[in-house]
Amino acid sequence: MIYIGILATSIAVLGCNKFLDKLPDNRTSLNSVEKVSELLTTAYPQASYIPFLEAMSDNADDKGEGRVTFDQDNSDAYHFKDIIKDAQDTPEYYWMQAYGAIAAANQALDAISKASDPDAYAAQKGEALVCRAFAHFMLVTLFAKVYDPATAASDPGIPYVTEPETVVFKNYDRGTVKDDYDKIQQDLEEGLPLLAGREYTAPKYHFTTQSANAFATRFYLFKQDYQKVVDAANAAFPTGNFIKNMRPWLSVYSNLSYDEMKAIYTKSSENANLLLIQASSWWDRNFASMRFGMSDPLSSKIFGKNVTGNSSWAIPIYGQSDYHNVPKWSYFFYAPENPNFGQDYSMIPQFTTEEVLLNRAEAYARLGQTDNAVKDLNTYASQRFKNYNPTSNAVTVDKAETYYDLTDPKQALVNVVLDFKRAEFVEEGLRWLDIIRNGLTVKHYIRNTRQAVVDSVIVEPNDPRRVLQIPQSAVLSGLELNPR
Amino acid sequence: MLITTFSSITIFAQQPTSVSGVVSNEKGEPLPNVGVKIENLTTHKGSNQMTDTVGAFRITGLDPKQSYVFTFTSVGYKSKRVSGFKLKAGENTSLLVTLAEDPAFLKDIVITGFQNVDKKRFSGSAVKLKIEDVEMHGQLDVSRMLEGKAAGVSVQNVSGTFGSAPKIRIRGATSITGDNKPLWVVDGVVLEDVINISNDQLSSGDPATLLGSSVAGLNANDIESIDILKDAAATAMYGARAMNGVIVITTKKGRIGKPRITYKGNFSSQLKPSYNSFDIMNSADQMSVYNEMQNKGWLNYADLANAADAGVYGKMADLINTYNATNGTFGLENTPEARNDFLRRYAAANTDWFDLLFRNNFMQEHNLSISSGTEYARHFLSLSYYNDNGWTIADKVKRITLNFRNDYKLGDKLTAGFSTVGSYRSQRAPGALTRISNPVEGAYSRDFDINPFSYALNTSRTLTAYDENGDLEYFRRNYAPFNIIHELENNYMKLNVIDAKLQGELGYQFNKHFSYKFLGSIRAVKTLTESFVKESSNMAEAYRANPNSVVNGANKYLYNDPDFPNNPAVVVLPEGGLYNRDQSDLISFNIRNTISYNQTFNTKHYVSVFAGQEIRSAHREQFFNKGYGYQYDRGGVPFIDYRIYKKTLETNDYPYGLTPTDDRFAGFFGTASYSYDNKYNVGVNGRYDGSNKLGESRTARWLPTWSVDGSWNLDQEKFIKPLNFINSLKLRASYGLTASMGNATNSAIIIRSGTTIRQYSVDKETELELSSLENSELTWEKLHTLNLGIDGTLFNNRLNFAFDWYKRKSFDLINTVKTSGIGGEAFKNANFADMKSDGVELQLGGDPIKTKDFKWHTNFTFGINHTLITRAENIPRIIDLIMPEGGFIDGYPARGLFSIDFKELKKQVGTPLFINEDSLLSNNVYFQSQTTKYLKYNGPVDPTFTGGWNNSFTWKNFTLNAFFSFQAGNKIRLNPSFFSAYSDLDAMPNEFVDRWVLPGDESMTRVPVISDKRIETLTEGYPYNAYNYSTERVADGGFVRMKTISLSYKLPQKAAKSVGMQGASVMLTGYNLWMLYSDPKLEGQDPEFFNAGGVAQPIQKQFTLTVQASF
Repeated sequence: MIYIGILATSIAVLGCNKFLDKLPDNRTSLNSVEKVSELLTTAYPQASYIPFLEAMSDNADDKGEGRVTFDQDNSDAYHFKDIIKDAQDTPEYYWMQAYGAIAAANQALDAISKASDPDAYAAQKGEALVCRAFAHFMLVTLFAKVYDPATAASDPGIPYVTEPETVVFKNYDRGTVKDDYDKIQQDLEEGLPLLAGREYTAPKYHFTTQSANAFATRFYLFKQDYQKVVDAANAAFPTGNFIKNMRPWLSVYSNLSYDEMKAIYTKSSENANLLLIQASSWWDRNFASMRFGMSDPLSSKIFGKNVTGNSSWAIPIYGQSDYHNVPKWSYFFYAPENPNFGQDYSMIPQFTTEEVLLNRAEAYARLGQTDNAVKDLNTYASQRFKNYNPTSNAVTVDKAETYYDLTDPKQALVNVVLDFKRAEFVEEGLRWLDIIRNGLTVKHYIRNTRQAVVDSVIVEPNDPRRVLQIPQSAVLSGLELNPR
Repeated sequence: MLITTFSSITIFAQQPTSVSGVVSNEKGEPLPNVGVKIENLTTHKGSNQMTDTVGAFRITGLDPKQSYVFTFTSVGYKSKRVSGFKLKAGENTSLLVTLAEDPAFLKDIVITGFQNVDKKRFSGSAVKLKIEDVEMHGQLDVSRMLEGKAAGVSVQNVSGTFGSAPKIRIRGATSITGDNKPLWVVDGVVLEDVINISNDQLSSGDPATLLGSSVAGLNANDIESIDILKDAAATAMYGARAMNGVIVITTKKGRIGKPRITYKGNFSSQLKPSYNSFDIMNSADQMSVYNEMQNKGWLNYADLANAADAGVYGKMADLINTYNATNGTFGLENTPEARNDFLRRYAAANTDWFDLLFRNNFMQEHNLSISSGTEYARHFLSLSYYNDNGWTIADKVKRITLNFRNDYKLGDKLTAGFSTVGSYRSQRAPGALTRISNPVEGAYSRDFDINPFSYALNTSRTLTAYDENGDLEYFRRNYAPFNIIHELENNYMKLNVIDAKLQGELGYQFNKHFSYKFLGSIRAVKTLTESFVKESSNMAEAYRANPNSVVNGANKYLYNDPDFPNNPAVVVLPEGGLYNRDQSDLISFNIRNTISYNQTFNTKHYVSVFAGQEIRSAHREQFFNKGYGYQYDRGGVPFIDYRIYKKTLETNDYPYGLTPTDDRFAGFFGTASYSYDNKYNVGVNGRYDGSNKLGESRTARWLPTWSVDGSWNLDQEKFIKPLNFINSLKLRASYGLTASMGNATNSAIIIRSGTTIRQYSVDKETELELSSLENSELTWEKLHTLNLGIDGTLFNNRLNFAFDWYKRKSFDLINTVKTSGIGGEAFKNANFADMKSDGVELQLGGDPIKTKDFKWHTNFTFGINHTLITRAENIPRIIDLIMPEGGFIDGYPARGLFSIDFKELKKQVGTPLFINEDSLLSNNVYFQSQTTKYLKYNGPVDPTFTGGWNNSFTWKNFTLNAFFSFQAGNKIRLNPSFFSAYSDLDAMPNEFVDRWVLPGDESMTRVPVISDKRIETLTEGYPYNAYNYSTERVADGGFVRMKTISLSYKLPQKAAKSVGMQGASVMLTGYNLWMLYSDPKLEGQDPEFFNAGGVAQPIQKQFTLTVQASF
């Protein structure tokens, strides 16, 4: 009997680890191409930068005290104060989600490197690398000084993470902006060609060769490598047919109701949307009523007089004076079980045909290829201005110089690009990227209940407040906060 | 009381003359290790024997001509002399000996579930409760019976509904985010929970709580004793699951002797609650408040016509708006006279909702048990049936239990035992959904809550259940007609639980000192919760409420199809109701092999070694299915509009789901103890545990735990022995490490599947999500405990006491910490918190008066426990700290209650003003703010002081018993009764009479105004919710309750015998009859109860008649 007991015990000892290898719940492991693909679905920063970037930009104005909704975050962003909250629609939330996306990409890359047949994962590797590059790019753009070839090697960047974290608190190094740009470029250039074979069930929510090239146009524009902007734009649209892929504001959209317009703008079936990312955000619900947003005078400025002469913008402005809004954001309330409380989600267009086109136009202008730049600008104008007449309304160098009172054709055309982008992406937050990239000064007025100016906040190109503060908790990882 | 049975059996003529037999206690349990000695002939060889594991002995080589005197001695029993039996040459004489317990040895054996240890040699802290001392006849759940019975064990009846678990703490909390539940063990096997109900979920009233009590299927009549193991030494054999203490239940076994049949019946009734115990406005007062509300802009006809909820005023508005074109009249003329006429009936209604929804129920419980046995085989069979026709019109419970246990002696050395335990439960409860927390407004909400208790408390007494014709009268809720009686008939849950366990044991005694034991058990539990929401229920009708465009825009149960942004919302449940199923199943097994060795050397050195190995597995599956459009009155054929699935899929609200989980454990353990001369005992215990819960890492999953203990039996010392008033006295000390599995399982990365949250179905993809990053540093939650204790019996056993002092340090506790987020996870669950606690426990008892006819038996227990979080470093939001369940933060107890600092009522307005997160006097408190330093700390949520006092007075055959339980030191949150807006369905407490009405009242009252609609819309934040969580709405949680009082009569032995019975008794018991003390601020609110709605009910006043007879 005792022998049976001892035998049973020793079998149990040997068998124990195997017995305990059973997974405790329905968690899964990354052991197939499909699973790595599915993980990469979460390698995109699922957060909105719009609420704070829009309020920081010159697309925001004070509608006046006590007239519309006051929101602390909206106010802090407008006043260039650090937003202390970490809920959705805050810089900290974006930071956390972007690094979450990076972690997913790194985990995928880790699984690929450990797979017995890494070649089968080539396309997934491509997506992971481009995702990693994109999230880091957005982080370095928002939380570090803008890329300046002269100082990038000394400006503190953001930690470029390339491996999964396995301890509770890990120390990271901010590195420099140049380091970050080098690594972004390396990941992008390595990943982009691999995307050729990537197939998706929802391609608009992933990096394809096209959307990765769209990202490349933005990246190289920041890096001031203009020929590469042109190359990437051409790669994104090999046939050069931009018009077919732009938002049909003049035709289809103009016949839609307000609600239909809101719905269509962020749909994946829209050719213009090259990359969409879903994000939890209250923006769709409250952007029109925020105190610091598009005021009446500001909307006239953005959508009024323009370089084409007498034709007017086709992008419609809805809402009464204090509630001006462009119908871009449909209402998607995600609330399983109980619709009383839940979360609003927005499907945010990250890259569009319009951006690629206008990025190329700017690159052409900066490269001195004035004709090409003018051509691209007219391609755009033909789709955005009512009654656009190619002869009388065409954008020309002369008209631009006159309009901006400049004698530098390059800068005049760049200004046209920036104004077109400002209108095109109004209430999408992207204006901020042009402000920091081009060193534009932002001047915010504070108005009282009668909308008279009582104070102002002016942020010059070198103002440290243009760089968002990194989360306080990053100190736990040995990071230095941005100067204030 | 000494009974000796003689019988002789002839076996073989050529056998040597011998005596064999079995020694058992008064309950018929065989007693091992009983010394058997021939007293008058010391020379006889082999006469000094010990009984074996089944109490058997055999003495051979006797001389048939002699007359022998045998003595039987055993620790804890009165020794016994047996003489006068006849011996026959060459034959065996069989003796059955029964030993009576020696009261000098109170609670003689500690059953740890692994070993039975002689209390004299046990150094841990443990309490043994005999079922007679704790049993509450007519109450079903054993866990509730422990209240006040053992020092240091706190039981809070947060809900009294059958199947829900009370909040039990042994020596308070040890963990911050963990469950803090003790481990239940039945006959050596851990009783796994079917579903894990977390700390805070216990008091939620959610349907899942009906499966919260692990012991709900256990029949108290099958229980022999309960051992509560408290310190590291006592719980050592449970190692990495022992942190919160262990409750070991030992069930009855068959007795040696002829079959004994026992019947016990409990017949109970619970009393209907009444408005006398609560402070609710009558209908006339309520109507005048509505009148005021109307003056303040509420209850206006335009709003009422399209309001989600409407009562009397809503009905009036509807009638005024109803125009009959044929006769040109309105349903009600819009004149003051007509309106007053209409309202008069309701003002006088004074509806007694308690009377309509509750009843003095009839609960019957029948128990039948048969016990029989011989030296070789013993059987115990027990059956019970319980039926409760329901305290409310929505509740019903049935339970059947079976327990069949067989113990065999298969030879001199081999023993075996088998048991089959099963139970079936069928329960009906009001339909309930899981509650949802809304951190923005700072409130919980539960849609379609029809809990009868909270309905009666919160519903206006102006509403009537029946109209003038005696038909059910409907008012409006969720835009649909509602009548509570109709709703409870058409929206209910049925719960079925089948629980079966098979257990087998095998023992082999190699020799006197060395034995082996095998234990194996398998248990399967199947539970099914069905929700029947019939087509005419308010819940189903709410999906169809679509009378006009206003309601169309407001009714959240209608569907806005994103593919048709221009279209109005549509009804997606056009026909039928809902039929939802939730299944929770468990299959667990447990296999254990142990060896034990005991030997005494030179009569003074006692050595005991015990070692073994076990594996445990619990496989759980949870399944749910939501069925839409089930047509109850059309033979159950579903009618489904596909868009209801489209709607649910767009929000990832899956129509069905299956979640399997596996919990596996492997452990190796050993203990060694040494006693010198029955005076000094030392022991060491160790266990090495492995669990699959920590994920794939093969190193993190293993954890060693250990303890050391020692005790000193002072009574054996020469200097104590002369002190005659001391019967026994022992000092104990122990120190050790135990552990528990925290709420984190990511020693390797956790990746989970999901579906992307995207607006349109065409874009949906399955996704894998990094649920938790790898934490290579993850480990178990651990606890160091130091325990010092003293036990004794004094004055010829008139007084016994046990006193314990302990100090504990919990470390490596799991807590959520905020990281830099750079690794990809902003908030991580990590071993990042520490806590300490200390306390004392005292148990005092005895029989101060004991005469021939009269006996007073008393037992007093109390325990003090303080916990303190020494490190958490969490950053809670205001909402996390002010909830009734409490929150945690550095420097405070495991769960503390914090309140928003109410200052005064606003001048001219009467709305409440608080010190908010910016330290400003304001109406507006931002509940999600992380600035919590302006909150006021009220006290711990768990009582720091708990106990009970039991007294029983026996005069001849009558016994009067009174038991009080008490707790103190904690703070509780009053029920939330203030809202920014009320409908004409709401009832209000009488304290509203003192509310702010006119400017200037703010100096006299602290009860805020019923808000004016105009002011309400301009007020920022949620001042009334803040008021509910303010310093004004806190009460002391202390109470003294007369828990039970009973009178019983036992038929005298002679009388019983004369009618062919072995015994009979009757008993009348009253439960929870008086609250001797509780904070007057509570105004009838039960300090233990969380009125969370759903399926929660308070514990009730109950009378029980118990009839017992054995044959």
